[in-house]
Amino acid sequence: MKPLELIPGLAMLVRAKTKGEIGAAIDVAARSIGFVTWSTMFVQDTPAGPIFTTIEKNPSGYDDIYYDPVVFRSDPVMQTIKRSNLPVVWDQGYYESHGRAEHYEKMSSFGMRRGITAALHMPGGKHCVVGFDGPDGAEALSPRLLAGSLGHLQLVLAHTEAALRPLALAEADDFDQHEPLTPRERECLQWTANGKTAWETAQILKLSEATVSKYLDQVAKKLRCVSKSQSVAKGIRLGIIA
Amino acid sequence: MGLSQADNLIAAADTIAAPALSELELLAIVDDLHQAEVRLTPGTGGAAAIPRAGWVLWACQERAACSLSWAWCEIEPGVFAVEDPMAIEGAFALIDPSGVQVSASVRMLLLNQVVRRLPWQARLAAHLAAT
Repeated sequence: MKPLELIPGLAMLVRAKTKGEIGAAIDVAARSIGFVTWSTMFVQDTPAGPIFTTIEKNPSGYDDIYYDPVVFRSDPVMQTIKRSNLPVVWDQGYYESHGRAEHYEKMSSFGMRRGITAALHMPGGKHCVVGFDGPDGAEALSPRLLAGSLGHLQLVLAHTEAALRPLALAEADDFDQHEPLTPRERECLQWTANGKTAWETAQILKLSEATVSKYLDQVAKKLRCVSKSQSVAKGIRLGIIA
Repeated sequence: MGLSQADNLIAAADTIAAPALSELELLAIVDDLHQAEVRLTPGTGGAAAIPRAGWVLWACQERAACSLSWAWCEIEPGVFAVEDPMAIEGAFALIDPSGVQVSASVRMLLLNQVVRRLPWQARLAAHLAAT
Protein backbone atom coordinates (compact mmCIF):
# COMPACT_ATOMS: atom_id res chain seq x y z
CA MET A 1 0.00 0.00 0.00
CA LYS A 2 1.28 3.45 -0.87
CA PRO A 3 1.65 5.85 2.05
CA LEU A 4 -1.42 7.97 1.39
CA GLU A 5 -3.85 5.32 0.17
CA LEU A 6 -4.70 4.62 3.77
CA ILE A 7 -8.11 6.27 3.59
CA PRO A 8 -9.91 8.05 0.74
CA GLY A 9 -9.22 11.76 0.59
CA LEU A 10 -6.00 11.66 2.61
CA ALA A 11 -3.69 12.29 -0.34
CA MET A 12 -5.94 15.20 -1.39
CA LEU A 13 -5.76 16.59 2.13
CA VAL A 14 -1.97 16.47 2.21
CA ARG A 15 -1.79 18.42 -1.06
CA ALA A 16 -4.60 20.87 -0.20
CA LYS A 17 -3.59 24.54 -0.16
CA THR A 18 -6.98 26.28 -0.17
CA LYS A 19 -10.18 26.03 1.82
CA GLY A 20 -11.90 24.60 -1.24
CA GLU A 21 -9.30 21.87 -1.62
CA ILE A 22 -9.38 21.04 2.09
CA GLY A 23 -13.17 20.87 1.97
CA ALA A 24 -13.15 18.63 -1.10
CA ALA A 25 -10.74 16.24 0.61
CA ILE A 26 -12.75 16.10 3.84
CA ASP A 27 -15.89 15.51 1.80
CA VAL A 28 -14.31 12.44 0.18
CA ALA A 29 -13.13 11.15 3.57
CA ALA A 30 -16.52 11.71 5.23
CA ARG A 31 -18.50 10.16 2.39
CA SER A 32 -16.24 7.11 2.38
CA ILE A 33 -17.75 6.07 5.71
CA GLY A 34 -21.28 7.24 4.96
CA PHE A 35 -21.48 10.84 6.21
CA VAL A 36 -22.79 13.43 3.76
CA THR A 37 -22.28 16.55 5.86
CA TRP A 38 -19.24 17.62 7.85
CA SER A 39 -17.56 20.62 9.38
CA THR A 40 -14.13 21.68 10.49
CA MET A 41 -12.89 24.69 12.40
CA PHE A 42 -9.53 26.00 13.48
CA VAL A 43 -9.68 28.20 16.55
CA GLN A 44 -6.95 30.53 17.63
CA ASP A 45 -7.26 32.02 21.12
CA THR A 46 -6.29 35.68 21.32
CA PRO A 47 -6.51 38.23 24.15
CA ALA A 48 -9.56 39.74 22.39
CA GLY A 49 -11.27 36.36 22.09
CA PRO A 50 -11.10 33.34 19.80
CA ILE A 51 -10.76 33.68 16.04
CA PHE A 52 -12.53 30.96 14.07
CA THR A 53 -11.62 29.68 10.62
CA THR A 54 -14.33 27.35 9.40
CA ILE A 55 -15.10 25.14 6.44
CA GLU A 56 -18.30 23.18 6.41
CA LYS A 57 -20.79 21.34 4.29
CA ASN A 58 -24.00 21.84 6.19
CA PRO A 59 -27.60 21.24 5.12
CA SER A 60 -29.29 24.24 3.51
CA GLY A 61 -30.42 26.71 6.16
CA TYR A 62 -28.39 25.10 8.94
CA ASP A 63 -25.65 27.76 8.95
CA ASP A 64 -27.76 30.12 11.08
CA ILE A 65 -27.80 27.47 13.84
CA TYR A 66 -24.19 26.44 13.29
CA TYR A 67 -22.91 30.01 13.61
CA ASP A 68 -25.26 31.06 16.43
CA PRO A 69 -22.92 31.80 19.39
CA VAL A 70 -25.61 30.95 21.96
CA VAL A 71 -26.34 27.56 20.38
CA PHE A 72 -22.61 26.91 19.99
CA ARG A 73 -21.90 27.58 23.65
CA SER A 74 -24.69 25.29 24.85
CA ASP A 75 -23.92 22.40 22.52
CA PRO A 76 -22.86 19.43 24.71
CA VAL A 77 -20.59 18.03 22.00
CA MET A 78 -18.68 21.31 21.79
CA GLN A 79 -18.58 21.57 25.58
CA THR A 80 -16.99 18.11 25.78
CA ILE A 81 -14.44 18.39 23.00
CA LYS A 82 -13.19 21.81 24.04
CA ARG A 83 -11.56 20.10 27.02
CA SER A 84 -10.51 16.81 25.44
CA ASN A 85 -8.77 15.30 22.44
CA LEU A 86 -11.05 12.25 22.65
CA PRO A 87 -13.69 11.84 19.97
CA VAL A 88 -17.37 12.12 20.85
CA VAL A 89 -20.03 9.85 19.36
CA TRP A 90 -23.36 11.62 19.41
CA ASP A 91 -26.97 10.88 18.60
CA GLN A 92 -30.38 11.64 20.08
CA GLY A 93 -29.54 9.76 23.28
CA TYR A 94 -26.36 11.80 23.77
CA TYR A 95 -28.21 15.14 23.60
CA GLU A 96 -31.04 13.85 25.80
CA SER A 97 -28.60 12.60 28.43
CA HIS A 98 -27.11 16.12 28.53
CA GLY A 99 -30.54 17.75 28.87
CA ARG A 100 -30.45 19.15 25.33
CA ALA A 101 -33.36 17.32 23.70
CA GLU A 102 -34.69 20.58 22.22
CA HIS A 103 -31.31 21.34 20.71
CA TYR A 104 -31.30 17.90 19.09
CA GLU A 105 -34.83 18.38 17.75
CA LYS A 106 -33.72 21.55 15.99
CA MET A 107 -30.65 19.84 14.53
CA SER A 108 -32.48 16.72 13.45
CA SER A 109 -35.04 18.82 11.55
CA PHE A 110 -32.11 19.58 9.23
CA GLY A 111 -31.14 15.91 9.04
CA MET A 112 -28.34 16.20 11.60
CA ARG A 113 -29.21 13.01 13.47
CA ARG A 114 -25.89 11.45 14.45
CA GLY A 115 -22.21 11.98 14.10
CA ILE A 116 -18.68 11.81 15.41
CA THR A 117 -16.63 14.85 16.39
CA ALA A 118 -13.05 15.18 17.60
CA ALA A 119 -10.66 17.98 18.50
CA LEU A 120 -6.96 18.57 18.83
CA HIS A 121 -5.69 21.09 21.35
CA MET A 122 -2.23 22.45 20.68
CA PRO A 123 0.17 24.73 22.49
CA GLY A 124 -0.33 28.45 21.98
CA GLY A 125 -4.11 28.29 22.26
CA LYS A 126 -4.70 26.63 18.91
CA HIS A 127 -7.46 24.09 18.42
CA CYS A 128 -8.78 22.13 15.47
CA VAL A 129 -12.13 20.33 15.26
CA VAL A 130 -13.56 17.97 12.65
CA GLY A 131 -17.06 16.51 12.73
CA PHE A 132 -18.77 14.05 10.41
CA ASP A 133 -22.55 14.08 10.71
CA GLY A 134 -25.86 13.89 8.92
CA PRO A 135 -28.90 11.70 8.41
CA ASP A 136 -26.85 8.64 7.51
CA GLY A 137 -23.74 7.15 9.06
CA ALA A 138 -25.61 4.61 11.22
CA GLU A 139 -23.47 1.79 9.87
CA ALA A 140 -20.23 3.67 10.57
CA LEU A 141 -21.37 4.09 14.17
CA SER A 142 -22.43 0.46 14.60
CA PRO A 143 -20.49 -1.52 17.23
CA ARG A 144 -18.75 -3.46 14.45
CA LEU A 145 -17.37 -0.41 12.65
CA LEU A 146 -17.22 2.33 15.30
CA ALA A 147 -13.59 1.77 16.31
CA GLY A 148 -12.51 2.03 12.66
CA SER A 149 -14.65 5.14 12.12
CA LEU A 150 -13.06 6.86 15.11
CA GLY A 151 -9.57 6.02 13.82
CA HIS A 152 -10.60 7.34 10.42
CA LEU A 153 -11.85 10.60 11.96
CA GLN A 154 -8.75 11.11 14.10
CA LEU A 155 -6.48 10.60 11.10
CA VAL A 156 -8.49 13.08 9.03
CA LEU A 157 -8.38 15.50 11.96
CA ALA A 158 -4.58 15.35 12.26
CA HIS A 159 -4.16 15.99 8.53
CA THR A 160 -6.83 18.71 8.50
CA GLU A 161 -5.02 20.53 11.28
CA ALA A 162 -1.79 20.49 9.28
CA ALA A 163 -3.54 21.72 6.13
CA LEU A 164 -5.76 24.33 7.77
CA ARG A 165 -3.24 25.81 10.20
CA PRO A 166 -1.38 28.10 7.72
CA LEU A 167 -4.66 29.36 6.24
CA ALA A 168 -6.15 29.97 9.68
CA LEU A 169 -3.11 31.86 10.92
CA ALA A 170 -3.16 34.04 7.80
CA GLU A 171 -6.87 34.73 8.30
CA ALA A 172 -6.26 35.62 11.94
CA ASP A 173 -3.65 38.15 10.84
CA ASP A 174 -6.18 40.10 8.76
CA PHE A 175 -9.27 39.30 10.85
CA ASP A 176 -10.00 42.97 11.52
CA GLN A 177 -9.46 44.06 7.90
CA HIS A 178 -12.76 44.70 6.16
CA GLU A 179 -14.57 47.20 3.98
CA PRO A 180 -16.23 49.87 6.17
CA LEU A 181 -19.97 49.49 6.70
CA THR A 182 -22.35 52.28 5.80
CA PRO A 183 -24.49 53.75 8.62
CA ARG A 184 -27.56 51.91 7.27
CA GLU A 185 -25.70 48.59 7.11
CA ARG A 186 -24.51 49.08 10.69
CA GLU A 187 -28.05 49.91 11.84
CA CYS A 188 -29.45 46.76 10.20
CA LEU A 189 -26.74 44.64 11.79
CA GLN A 190 -27.36 46.22 15.22
CA TRP A 191 -31.11 45.52 15.09
CA THR A 192 -30.37 41.94 13.96
CA ALA A 193 -28.04 41.59 16.94
CA ASN A 194 -30.91 42.83 19.10
CA GLY A 195 -32.98 39.88 17.93
CA LYS A 196 -35.10 41.62 15.31
CA THR A 197 -36.10 39.87 12.10
CA ALA A 198 -35.58 41.53 8.72
CA TRP A 199 -39.27 42.44 8.68
CA GLU A 200 -39.14 43.99 12.16
CA THR A 201 -35.95 45.88 11.28
CA ALA A 202 -37.68 47.16 8.15
CA GLN A 203 -40.58 48.47 10.25
CA ILE A 204 -38.23 50.23 12.67
CA LEU A 205 -36.07 51.82 9.96
CA LYS A 206 -39.01 52.51 7.62
CA LEU A 207 -37.47 50.49 4.82
CA SER A 208 -38.72 47.52 2.83
CA GLU A 209 -37.87 44.02 4.06
CA ALA A 210 -36.03 43.35 0.78
CA THR A 211 -33.83 46.41 1.36
CA VAL A 212 -32.94 45.26 4.88
CA SER A 213 -32.06 41.79 3.55
CA LYS A 214 -29.93 43.42 0.87
CA TYR A 215 -28.08 45.49 3.50
CA LEU A 216 -27.46 42.36 5.58
CA ASP A 217 -26.15 40.49 2.53
CA GLN A 218 -23.74 43.37 1.92
CA VAL A 219 -22.64 43.29 5.56
CA ALA A 220 -21.93 39.56 5.33
CA LYS A 221 -19.92 40.09 2.17
CA LYS A 222 -17.89 42.95 3.67
CA LEU A 223 -17.18 41.03 6.88
CA ARG A 224 -16.47 37.80 4.95
CA CYS A 225 -19.22 35.92 6.73
CA VAL A 226 -21.69 33.36 5.45
CA SER A 227 -24.73 34.05 7.62
CA LYS A 228 -26.47 36.72 9.70
CA SER A 229 -25.43 35.01 12.93
CA GLN A 230 -21.79 34.96 11.89
CA SER A 231 -22.00 38.63 10.86
CA VAL A 232 -23.43 39.56 14.25
CA ALA A 233 -20.75 37.60 16.11
CA LYS A 234 -17.96 39.17 14.07
CA GLY A 235 -19.55 42.63 14.28
CA ILE A 236 -19.53 42.41 18.09
CA ARG A 237 -15.95 41.11 18.13
CA LEU A 238 -14.80 43.99 15.93
CA GLY A 239 -16.70 46.58 17.95
CA ILE A 240 -18.84 47.62 14.97
CA ILE A 241 -21.98 46.99 17.00
CA ALA A 242 -22.64 46.62 20.69
CA MET B 1 27.32 18.62 36.76
CA GLY B 2 23.77 19.95 37.05
CA LEU B 3 20.80 17.70 36.55
CA SER B 4 19.72 19.47 33.38
CA GLN B 5 23.13 18.91 31.80
CA ALA B 6 22.98 15.22 32.69
CA ASP B 7 19.49 15.00 31.23
CA ASN B 8 20.73 16.63 28.05
CA LEU B 9 23.54 14.09 27.73
CA ILE B 10 21.14 11.20 28.27
CA ALA B 11 18.76 12.66 25.72
CA ALA B 12 21.61 13.09 23.26
CA ALA B 13 22.73 9.50 23.80
CA ASP B 14 19.18 8.30 23.23
CA THR B 15 19.02 10.25 20.01
CA ILE B 16 22.25 8.72 18.77
CA ALA B 17 21.05 5.20 19.63
CA ALA B 18 17.62 5.67 18.07
CA PRO B 19 17.32 4.17 14.61
CA ALA B 20 16.57 6.54 11.76
CA LEU B 21 13.82 5.50 9.38
CA SER B 22 12.57 7.00 6.16
CA GLU B 23 8.83 7.21 5.57
CA LEU B 24 8.93 4.13 3.34
CA GLU B 25 11.02 2.18 5.87
CA LEU B 26 8.56 3.12 8.58
CA LEU B 27 5.60 1.90 6.55
CA ALA B 28 7.51 -1.27 5.66
CA ILE B 29 7.83 -2.31 9.31
CA VAL B 30 4.13 -1.89 10.07
CA ASP B 31 3.40 -5.57 9.42
CA ASP B 32 6.19 -6.51 11.79
CA LEU B 33 4.87 -4.47 14.70
CA HIS B 34 3.09 -6.31 17.47
CA GLN B 35 1.43 -5.32 20.72
CA ALA B 36 4.25 -5.64 23.24
CA GLU B 37 2.84 -4.06 26.37
CA VAL B 38 -0.47 -2.77 27.70
CA ARG B 39 -0.95 -0.73 30.83
CA LEU B 40 -4.27 0.11 32.44
CA THR B 41 -4.46 3.40 34.30
CA PRO B 42 -5.24 2.63 37.96
CA GLY B 43 -8.69 3.70 39.02
CA THR B 44 -10.26 3.36 35.58
CA GLY B 45 -12.72 0.68 34.48
CA GLY B 46 -14.08 -2.07 36.70
CA ALA B 47 -16.28 -0.86 39.53
CA ALA B 48 -15.17 2.71 38.86
CA ALA B 49 -17.56 4.69 36.72
CA ILE B 50 -14.55 6.06 34.86
CA PRO B 51 -13.99 4.60 31.36
CA ARG B 52 -10.95 2.37 31.04
CA ALA B 53 -7.85 4.18 29.92
CA GLY B 54 -4.19 3.34 29.63
CA TRP B 55 -1.15 3.12 27.46
CA VAL B 56 -0.02 0.66 24.82
CA LEU B 57 3.34 -0.15 23.25
CA TRP B 58 3.77 -1.73 19.84
CA ALA B 59 7.26 -2.96 18.98
CA CYS B 60 8.99 -4.44 15.97
CA GLN B 61 9.99 -8.12 16.18
CA GLU B 62 13.08 -7.72 14.00
CA ARG B 63 14.22 -4.32 15.24
CA ALA B 64 13.35 -4.16 18.90
CA ALA B 65 14.41 -0.52 19.08
CA CYS B 66 11.58 0.43 16.72
CA SER B 67 8.53 0.95 18.85
CA LEU B 68 5.53 3.24 19.14
CA SER B 69 3.42 4.01 22.16
CA TRP B 70 0.35 6.03 22.86
CA ALA B 71 -2.35 6.59 25.46
CA TRP B 72 -5.81 5.18 24.77
CA CYS B 73 -9.28 5.56 26.24
CA GLU B 74 -12.41 3.44 25.99
CA ILE B 75 -15.05 5.59 24.28
CA GLU B 76 -17.80 3.00 24.48
CA PRO B 77 -17.65 -0.55 25.85
CA GLY B 78 -15.02 -2.34 23.77
CA VAL B 79 -14.36 0.68 21.53
CA PHE B 80 -11.01 2.41 21.95
CA ALA B 81 -9.57 5.66 20.60
CA VAL B 82 -6.17 7.29 20.73
CA GLU B 83 -6.31 9.70 23.66
CA ASP B 84 -4.22 12.37 21.94
CA PRO B 85 -3.19 11.96 18.29
CA MET B 86 -0.58 14.70 18.84
CA ALA B 87 1.16 12.66 21.53
CA ILE B 88 2.00 9.38 19.80
CA GLU B 89 5.58 8.52 20.71
CA GLY B 90 7.98 6.79 18.35
CA ALA B 91 11.35 5.50 19.58
CA PHE B 92 13.08 6.31 16.32
CA ALA B 93 14.07 9.28 14.22
CA LEU B 94 12.18 9.94 10.99
CA ILE B 95 14.17 11.29 8.09
CA ASP B 96 13.33 12.63 4.66
CA PRO B 97 14.98 11.34 1.45
CA SER B 98 17.94 13.68 2.00
CA GLY B 99 18.57 12.26 5.48
CA VAL B 100 17.31 15.27 7.41
CA GLN B 101 14.90 14.75 10.31
CA VAL B 102 11.33 15.56 9.29
CA SER B 103 9.46 18.36 11.07
CA ALA B 104 7.42 17.67 14.17
CA SER B 105 4.25 18.23 12.17
CA VAL B 106 5.18 15.70 9.46
CA ARG B 107 6.33 13.24 12.12
CA MET B 108 2.99 13.53 13.89
CA LEU B 109 1.12 12.79 10.66
CA LEU B 110 3.30 9.78 9.84
CA LEU B 111 2.92 8.29 13.32
CA ASN B 112 -0.84 8.73 13.06
CA GLN B 113 -0.81 6.95 9.71
CA VAL B 114 1.11 4.03 11.21
CA VAL B 115 -1.25 3.73 14.18
CA ARG B 116 -4.24 3.82 11.83
CA ARG B 117 -2.78 0.81 9.97
CA LEU B 118 -2.32 -1.27 13.12
CA PRO B 119 -5.12 -3.55 14.38
CA TRP B 120 -4.44 -2.10 17.80
CA GLN B 121 -8.04 -1.63 18.92
CA ALA B 122 -8.90 -5.31 18.37
CA ARG B 123 -5.65 -6.48 19.99
CA LEU B 124 -6.24 -4.22 22.97
CA ALA B 125 -9.82 -5.46 23.37
CA ALA B 126 -8.60 -9.07 23.26
CA HIS B 127 -5.88 -8.35 25.80
CA LEU B 128 -8.26 -6.63 28.21
CA ALA B 129 -10.82 -9.42 27.83
CA ALA B 130 -8.17 -11.99 28.71
CA THR B 131 -6.89 -10.22 31.82
